[in-house]
Amino acid sequence: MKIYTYYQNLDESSSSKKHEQEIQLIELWKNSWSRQGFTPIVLNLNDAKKNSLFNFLDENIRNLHFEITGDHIQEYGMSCWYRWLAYGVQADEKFYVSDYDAINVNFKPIEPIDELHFMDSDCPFFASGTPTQFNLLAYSFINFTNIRKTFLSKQEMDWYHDQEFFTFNLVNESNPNSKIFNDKLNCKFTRVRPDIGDYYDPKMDLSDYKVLHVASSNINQIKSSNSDFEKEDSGELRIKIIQSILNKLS
Amino acid sequence: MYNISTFTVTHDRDLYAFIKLSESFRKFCKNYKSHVVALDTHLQDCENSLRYFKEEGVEYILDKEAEKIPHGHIRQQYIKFNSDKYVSDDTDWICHVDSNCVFFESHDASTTYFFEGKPVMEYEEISTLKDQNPSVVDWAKLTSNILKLPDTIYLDFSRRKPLIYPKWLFVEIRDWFLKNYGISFLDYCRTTDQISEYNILGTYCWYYHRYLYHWVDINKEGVRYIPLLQKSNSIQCAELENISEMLVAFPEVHLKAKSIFQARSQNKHIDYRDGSYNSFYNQVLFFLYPEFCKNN
Repeated sequence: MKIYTYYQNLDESSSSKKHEQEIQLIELWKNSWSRQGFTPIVLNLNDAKKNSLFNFLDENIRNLHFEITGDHIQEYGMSCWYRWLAYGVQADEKFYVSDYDAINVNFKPIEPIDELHFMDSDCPFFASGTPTQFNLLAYSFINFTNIRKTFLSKQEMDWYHDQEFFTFNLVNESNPNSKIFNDKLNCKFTRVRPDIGDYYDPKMDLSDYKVLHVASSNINQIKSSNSDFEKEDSGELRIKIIQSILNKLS
Repeated sequence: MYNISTFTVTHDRDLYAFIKLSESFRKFCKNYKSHVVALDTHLQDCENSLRYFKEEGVEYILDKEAEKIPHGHIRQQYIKFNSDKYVSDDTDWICHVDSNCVFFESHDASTTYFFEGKPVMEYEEISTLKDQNPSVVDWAKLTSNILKLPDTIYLDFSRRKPLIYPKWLFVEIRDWFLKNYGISFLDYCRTTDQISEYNILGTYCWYYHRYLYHWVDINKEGVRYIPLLQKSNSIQCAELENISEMLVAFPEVHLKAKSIFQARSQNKHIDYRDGSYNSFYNQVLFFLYPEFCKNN
């Protein structure tokens, strides 16, 4: 069973500290998934550009982001949208996709369900689907955002990335008409924590988790609640924490 | 040159379709005086639409009188017969666009609906339609009875959208009902359960204002090109729904398909309700967006 992630080096210098940390993080991501029996694959901007929807998404998202937030979107923001295009050009029938801070603690390679499946509700850090479903999703980013842009522009967002797309359009709390959109997209949102999507808590037993989301905000949370880590570089601390998780598993 | 407004009646069941129509209007429609949206409010039928309209700032009108009409399809037709009350004052012509339609190419309202100074009204003879669609005979009889005609009308005026009417016509027709039935048009609609608004309007003009329109029998003269697609309730509906969404999302695909088709075909007529043209459009869409088309 394959799992894909997407990485785009946004630093001018490929030898920058941040880039090096990202590469280490991706290696840890690969390690965590392959040891559970998955085949982890990293995609990049060239993969996204193979998708014929690339220009459609690129041009429309840039315009919509400006209309909604009043600001031009940063390249990091664009990479959040591009990744779904990269998933849309893969040959496999069904597969998993995740952020590279999704650490597999004990999630076995089971066949994904038939629907496009977001496994931590509106947080798109871990999902499964087919290339067709990911392409329909990419189209829906534009379609649904166009439909809701007046409402979205009133939300005073600093940015509008894929996470905000899910939160503001597809979840019933913020869009009571979300069913109309979900029916078009035929996707399923689930959230089963702490199994999938929880932040790492050093006090918790690892056996409680299946897939951890060791996001930057998770590290900031750990730093603020533990004075030992307070002065550590967040990127380095994230790598150390993930390494220690994997060491505990082996 | 001509002062035209569009008028659309919608309700919850058509919300997504209406959203696509609105999007197409924003993208492709120029020089219309106004785009008036009437919401059919009845019981809980319009809650989703109201919420969406509020969130997105869609302006709409409510016809409170229409709520007295029990049947939804009659209520919606009644609202259309009152469209003159809701369009902007500077409107002379009202273009009725149902919410299951989309525009798909930029056009100028003033040059699209008129020929030699008259609006075009397309029709088909009942005799050519009845084998394919026997219900047209019943609609013709019903329309003729409602309008108290000496003979049954032999034409159908309802099949080619959008349809354009002078604003004064609606006042005149409501008065005609009052004079001929002794009750208001509202009361007439409260007690009837069948009416075909476009056939009433078309037939009325055929009998009483023949000079007004440039009449076109589409089976003899062919259809005019208006960049609007209506999803019918026919077997093609799902395919047309898909194509209509693509036409709004990817306008360049239509333009590309049109230019190729017209360059290499003797028959330059573009009609998305024609299966062979649909197939050609889908080929162009697939060529330009292969990943998206594979199974969608």
